[in-house]
Amino acid sequence: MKPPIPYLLLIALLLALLAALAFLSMLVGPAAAGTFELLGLMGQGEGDIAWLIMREVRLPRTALALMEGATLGLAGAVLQGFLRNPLADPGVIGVSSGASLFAVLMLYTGLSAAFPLALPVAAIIGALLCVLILQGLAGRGGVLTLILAGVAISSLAGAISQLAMNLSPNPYAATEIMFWMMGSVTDRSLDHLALAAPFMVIGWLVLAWSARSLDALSLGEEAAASLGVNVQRTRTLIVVGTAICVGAGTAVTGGIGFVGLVVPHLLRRLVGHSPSRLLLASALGGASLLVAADILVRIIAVGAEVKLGVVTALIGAPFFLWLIFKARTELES
Amino acid sequence: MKLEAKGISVAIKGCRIVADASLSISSGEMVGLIGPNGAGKSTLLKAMLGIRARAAGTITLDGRDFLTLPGRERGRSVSFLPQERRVEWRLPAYDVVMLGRYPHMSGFGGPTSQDRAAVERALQDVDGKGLAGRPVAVLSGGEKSRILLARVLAVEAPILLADEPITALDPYHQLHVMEILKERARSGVGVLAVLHDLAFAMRFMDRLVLMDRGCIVADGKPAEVLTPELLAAVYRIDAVMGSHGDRSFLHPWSRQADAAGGRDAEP
Amino acid sequence: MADHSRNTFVALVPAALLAWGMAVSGAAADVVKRPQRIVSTNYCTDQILLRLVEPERIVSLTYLSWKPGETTADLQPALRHAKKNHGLAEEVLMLDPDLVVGGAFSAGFSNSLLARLGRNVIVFEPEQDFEQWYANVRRMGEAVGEPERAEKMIAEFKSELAAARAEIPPGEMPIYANLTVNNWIPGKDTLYQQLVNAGGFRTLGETLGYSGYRGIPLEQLIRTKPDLVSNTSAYESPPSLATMNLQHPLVRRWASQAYASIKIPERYVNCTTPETLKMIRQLVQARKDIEAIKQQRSATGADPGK
Repeated sequence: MKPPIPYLLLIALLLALLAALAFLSMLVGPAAAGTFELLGLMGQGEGDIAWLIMREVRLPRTALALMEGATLGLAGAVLQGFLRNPLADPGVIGVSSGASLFAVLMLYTGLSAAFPLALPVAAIIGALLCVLILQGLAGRGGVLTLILAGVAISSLAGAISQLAMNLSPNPYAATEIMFWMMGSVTDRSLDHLALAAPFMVIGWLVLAWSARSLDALSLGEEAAASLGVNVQRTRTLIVVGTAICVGAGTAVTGGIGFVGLVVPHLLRRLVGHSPSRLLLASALGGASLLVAADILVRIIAVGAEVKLGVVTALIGAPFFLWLIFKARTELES
Repeated sequence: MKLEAKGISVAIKGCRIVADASLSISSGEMVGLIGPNGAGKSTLLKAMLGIRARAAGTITLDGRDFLTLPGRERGRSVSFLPQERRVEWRLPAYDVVMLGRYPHMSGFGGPTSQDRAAVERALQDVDGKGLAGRPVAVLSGGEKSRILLARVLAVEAPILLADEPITALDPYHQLHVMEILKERARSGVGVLAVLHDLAFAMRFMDRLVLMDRGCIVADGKPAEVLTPELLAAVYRIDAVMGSHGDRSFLHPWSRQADAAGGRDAEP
Repeated sequence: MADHSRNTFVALVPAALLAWGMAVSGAAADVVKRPQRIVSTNYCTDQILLRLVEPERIVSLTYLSWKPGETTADLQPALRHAKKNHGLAEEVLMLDPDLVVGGAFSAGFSNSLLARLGRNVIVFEPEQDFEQWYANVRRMGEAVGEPERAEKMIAEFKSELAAARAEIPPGEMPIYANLTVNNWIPGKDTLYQQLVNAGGFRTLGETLGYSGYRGIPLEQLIRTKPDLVSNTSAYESPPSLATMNLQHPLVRRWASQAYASIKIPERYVNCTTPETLKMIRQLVQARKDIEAIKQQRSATGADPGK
């Protein structure tokens, strides 16, 4: 009857963890520049540059990692709850692929240099377009139709992206595309944050609204409908909410995987398996994970930057393996 | 309270599953919806709840159009025990039963003391208090059925619809579940259950509604409905009747050989 | 009172638009005639900068310029003075430059962030031919306040180029197959083609008729008959799947049919620099060698006109 740890305590712990990581993130610089050199600068009285960097470089970076992590964690938890499938992650409805595709096309054509926010704006349009197509394809169908349509859109968008890389006559553009797709928050500005943040917050609110229906849906769609859940409306809310926040996040940071898949699994037992309680916990957990990963990106000192998406995969995959190993019996019941 | 369905028709791709069916369920009565496989019983039940789309017909709750009522009001008025036994996520039994209070809870608030009391009562009724802390996923078939029934009881709705509540249970649990439902009916809830087991239908139900190939062919007391003629026409079986004390019982006994090549040729 | 505030508003709007426009374009930012603290975030701009500006004025170059063989000996003093950077905005900001020069690719976010913060950022597109490179050098010269040195560098390059080209024997340009990883061969409209043409050859890709870089299937490759091949194993770095093509027996046999082979270090072609002239001279020499071989063969009648 009782989860291993009281819910409020769990949330408080996650908040504390996130706060600590965010604080650390503001203090850590790229190893190449001297990880803690900034603090040294401040100590020596060269405060101006230090504050400039803090405000204009580290703040957007930390905030974006935090918000994107929260978005991925939340969207992953919502989709797993709604699709009643532990393999679901935010990419399953094709939103991140749509955003990536438009970003890739901008890089391929060179239009991304038109104005500073050209690339993220195009990517957001791509995400919303994909969702419109998804709703058109699978609007009145069931959950299976939705998943299949999402996979189809992802595959198509992915194929076109790869085609663009394949045909790119310019080796620089091809590399740039590849790196963008690996995900990063390096050198994003407050403008990027200002562009993506409102979308992400709106998406969160829309998703949060569906929270309680997720609990009822554990019993299956028929029982949930009999309890008064409007399954179609819940589905629309979830698809649109995910599109808005994940689309905007991907538009600014590029493709980051694993967070939406692994974080809900990590925390599910701690919230007593309740789908609705998992939402806030996953958001905080995802934010913490991504901020931590971004700190690692900065601390790891090799010549080329290790991309954020690569780090989350490197952390996420082994963790996932360990989880499955521990929970083998549970998963089969 | 009375839930009434009139003239319900359900079709898939032109194939008629339920045709012009009407039935009602009122507080305090225990009604069985019976018929052979494929007769359309579950479909009719789901159409009454609005879970299944219908081509024609009205469903009213005390005269008001049931399906246009707000979701939570519908949930509070009519509770449903579906055939689906699967509970996703490793939820403890108590939490599963608490899900039955969904139509009563609002916004982001947690369960109130009323909700908790209702859950306790429901667990008590199904004799499930000892199971409360265990994950539903590890319970046995009988235990899980009781918990899912408790979930439905926790709604404390005046009408209760159940789709094959005793299928796949052993005799002990079959009897237990039917007794719980009967008890509920006596305390004023209107219970409508889809059943396959004619013996139980005869024994526990106040009224039976017999369906055959999408149509309702009989609606009345068990003795009036489970006549040898109707059993032969609809089920193609002969049954043995008897009495035990002051109750009659029925037991399907043999199949009828069908000379004309039979019902399976029907569209 | 209303009039006063309306006038203020009317004055503010164009001012705001102007400020927004300038902020977006970054043009109003601290433009200094002779920058004293220059940071370069791109290897190619590093190499131009090193040749235009004295070491004291260079604060930082990309770490790539420190790689062995990437910067010639005469430019090493600047490396002792400057710091390495990895193109990150934070690094650049901490160095407090008054001019940042960089490349158009892979530093997009960094460049726009720096521009947004009011730094003077100048972005150089990678050159596709010599004229573009001269334009880049001139632009760099203007930006760092050394226009005469830039012109001098260009003039020297042009005259050395002309001198090298003057030695090219007359006749049809032979074919040079520069085989790199994954059978990528440069065709028309690439910098590589311009360099090879300047050395008196046509690239294999040119003769096959396409633009840009393409991977040529082996079957198509072995039906070609280049006069000159390169025998460099590309990137001279740890083996990768991409370099395995060079080990294929058919490739080796195909390569051995050419008149001669040549080895050109990567750094001659990564970016245009005066080092590039060495490649051109090598090609011109190879051209002369090939002509000599051809004459020898036709004199002895040994070769049925390859």
